Amino acid sequence: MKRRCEESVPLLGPWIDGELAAEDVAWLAEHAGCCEACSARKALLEAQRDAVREAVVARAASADLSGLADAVMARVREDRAPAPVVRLRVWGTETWRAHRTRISAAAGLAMAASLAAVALFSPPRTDPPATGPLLADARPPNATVEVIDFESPQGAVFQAGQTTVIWVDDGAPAVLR
Amino acid sequence: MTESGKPARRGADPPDDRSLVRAAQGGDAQAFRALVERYQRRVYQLALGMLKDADEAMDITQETFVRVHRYLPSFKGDSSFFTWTYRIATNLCLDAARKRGRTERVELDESDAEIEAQMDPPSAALAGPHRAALNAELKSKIDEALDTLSENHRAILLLREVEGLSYEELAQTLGIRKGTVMSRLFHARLKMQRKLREYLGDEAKDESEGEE
Repeated sequence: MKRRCEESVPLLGPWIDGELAAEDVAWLAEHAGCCEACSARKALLEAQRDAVREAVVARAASADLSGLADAVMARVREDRAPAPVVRLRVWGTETWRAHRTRISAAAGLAMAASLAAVALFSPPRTDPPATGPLLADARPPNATVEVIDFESPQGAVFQAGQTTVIWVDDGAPAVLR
Repeated sequence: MTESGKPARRGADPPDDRSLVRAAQGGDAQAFRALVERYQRRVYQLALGMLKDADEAMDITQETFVRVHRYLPSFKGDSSFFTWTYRIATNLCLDAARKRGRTERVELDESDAEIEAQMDPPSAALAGPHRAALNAELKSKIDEALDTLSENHRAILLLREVEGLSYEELAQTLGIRKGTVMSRLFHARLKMQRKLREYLGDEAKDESEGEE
């Protein structure tokens, strides 16, 4: 096998396709002129190209396409431009496919930044305001509840030493004495 | 461009594609219809070559132009109209073939053994006297050989051999690099040759030996 043949074989296709630079065509033509095998290979590629073309064209030639344009135009009239939602979905899909790595990285960074912002700027946690039951905390130190009268018409009455707590109802303020 | 199916180049007849596209983008239905009529047979040829089914090829052709119309407003003219149209048609064909489950993966990293194989004495059956009158049997063998190729190999072979697309146009249509075009086309042709040699059998061998 000649070295020149090895070099020429991959270029025979581009040669018959007219895709080779002039200097390549020049040396290939010179080589094919004196190499029967490469000359035959080139002829075969050309013959195959023509045979494929003829076979495919002949097969399609018998098809009746006379109604195709009408059918296309009828469908086109029915076909509306994609709805905005569809376009948005297509755009989103295409964008995701094209930039999935960058989008993932950006989403991760955004999430991390959000978490950091929450941690940094959230106000310090405070206890909820005192409500009814915490009134007991207002008792003097060491005070103990001595009497609880649930029968009082004014509401529940707590007696703790010198302090009396009357829990009137939910809507009225408690009274301390 | 004619209905003959010959790989005539665009722009042969006025008005050219660009002015028709511009008019169609402006809502001129007749201009769009002219584009359909100009390219319908070539798109159908491609679809038929890819799918081997006349009805399916017709459906794909129709769907191609519906999509062309749908997305025409976004066509910027970076590539030629027919390259753009072929791209849509090729993708629809590949999708249809995949749905059938016939797709093989394209082997782009085939070894140099493929090249070595082509160094065998070539079959001259296609270049011989039988080629002069492409008979029905040979046409059928070509169809069979095409059918054995992977979808991607078949697409590039049809787009090149039948439609006459340049390597640059092939790259745009198939969404691949020019280097990949050369590699894929080389292997597609090589596989086609091998299959034809298998089908033509002794006849090819005899003629090949006769030439050597």
